[in-house]
Amino acid sequence: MEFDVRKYANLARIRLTDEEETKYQKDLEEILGYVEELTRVKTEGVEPMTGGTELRNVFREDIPGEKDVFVPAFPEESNGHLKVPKILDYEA
Amino acid sequence: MKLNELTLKATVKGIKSGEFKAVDVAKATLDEIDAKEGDIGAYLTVNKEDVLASAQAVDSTIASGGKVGDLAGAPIALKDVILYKGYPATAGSKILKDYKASYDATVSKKLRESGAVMIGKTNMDEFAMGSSTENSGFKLTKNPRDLERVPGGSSGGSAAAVAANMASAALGSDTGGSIRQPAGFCGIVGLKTTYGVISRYGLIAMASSLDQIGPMAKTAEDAAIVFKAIAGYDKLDSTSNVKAQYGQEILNPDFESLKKLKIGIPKEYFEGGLDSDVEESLQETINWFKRNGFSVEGVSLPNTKYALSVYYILMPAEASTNLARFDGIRYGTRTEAQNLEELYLKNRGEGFGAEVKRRITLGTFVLSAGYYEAYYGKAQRVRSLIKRDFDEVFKRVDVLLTPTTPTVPFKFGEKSQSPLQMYLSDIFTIPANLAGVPCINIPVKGREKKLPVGFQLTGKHFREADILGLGMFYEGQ
Repeated sequence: MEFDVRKYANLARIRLTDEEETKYQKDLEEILGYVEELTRVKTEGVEPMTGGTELRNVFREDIPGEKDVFVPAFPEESNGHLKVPKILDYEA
Repeated sequence: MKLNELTLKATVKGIKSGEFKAVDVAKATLDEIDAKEGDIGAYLTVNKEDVLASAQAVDSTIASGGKVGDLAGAPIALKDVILYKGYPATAGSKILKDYKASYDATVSKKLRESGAVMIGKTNMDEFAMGSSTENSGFKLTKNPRDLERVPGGSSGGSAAAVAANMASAALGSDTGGSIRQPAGFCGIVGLKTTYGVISRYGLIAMASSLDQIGPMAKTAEDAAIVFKAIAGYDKLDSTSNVKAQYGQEILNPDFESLKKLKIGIPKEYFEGGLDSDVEESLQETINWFKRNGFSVEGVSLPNTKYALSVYYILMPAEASTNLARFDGIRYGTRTEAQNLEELYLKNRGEGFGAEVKRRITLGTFVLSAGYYEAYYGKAQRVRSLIKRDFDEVFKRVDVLLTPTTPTVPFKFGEKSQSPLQMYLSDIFTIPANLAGVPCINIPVKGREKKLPVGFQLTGKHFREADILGLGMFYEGQ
């Protein structure tokens, strides 16, 4: 297995410094080496436990929250709307 | 005895009977915080005015003959990962340093309704990732029993606050031991409940298939009182279980029927690697239960040895998805950047601490195309085997007795250089989270002058009454 910390940190949108990259590469190789032991466990025919509960498809009414409370909690607003930075990059 | 040193039960009783006032308890607790907080560092936020005002409100209700709840006037601290309206909720992370909760978590709401006085928000490992509270983005918390040692983690601030009489009780959260391990290290009681019985609405999520909120307290009885006040089905948490109904049995256990419970000792928890202090204390505890007439037998949970590996795949995987929302756009302050990708990279790179970055990166890897089945899928299957071990063993015995940690509290810096060494301190607490069963830390008696050692009692699903009851029996004899 070739684990490249830079590749996965980048996928997770985390910028690492060179120092962090060296340290985490070593740390995570050590952890991945430890969890290798699971390859020895026989799991043929064993269903995966996909969550902490056996409940399925839990529904509830979708009731809007209080706008006056939630909008000010957001970093930027404009006329009562949530304001986010430009997401498209293009040359005009 | 000072008012802040009383148990929660005695505090509420004294306030309700008019022996002393909620304001007196609040003042005594705030005085203790003034005196000790500089050394211990348990809290991130304490608002004295709010504390005194809510204590005053309890006193006024009592004076006018009104009804007060089961936690009336008890100063209770909240781990900073739980939302309390108007208060910061940093989860111990710089990325949330400017965030204030815009609503109450369900547990916060229930504490208010029960008359508790929210005394402050406690320090923790960033996003509950750690076993020593050294990963807090803000400060260190010291173990009140020995200031050179860690309080455990991730609910280290809550544990230290209770152990130092700077709170009557506290709430923590437990994903792989984050309530029980610090409770063990600080010599207090900590309960992780059955998955789904305490609402997580308003808890900042780490690993959703494992996270549980629970009480940390001076005695098992206090833990039971707080548990009863905050447990129950909540439609706002879609993993909440309708079976979460608990009666008076929780508060008033019948010791005669408790004595019929069969206690199992799983051999996998005693196979090498235990500090001699822990080993001896556990043996004394097992003998104590035998002397008191309990049936005690050796049992086996053969897949226990894989729990740590399963946990360190599933937990980072779930955390990497849960923490995607901290993107520099939704919460706190926003750092400007050239474009969107740059904004993400910068905010997350600078805002998260080392352990969080490590776990998110690991989680992203185990979920990535090509590795998903080999890591994440495999770990979910082994998790089934671990849960099956508990199902099988609980056909023979009612409760399991194990150590909480392999060692006594360690010193600052002792394990912080090697993540794997730190992870190994959770080896006995993780299995209960994977299986979803309730599990409590109880301090071993007679160690008041030594470093604390704790033991765990693990019960069947929804049988908190068994482990709390046994804890009360052990404390009372």
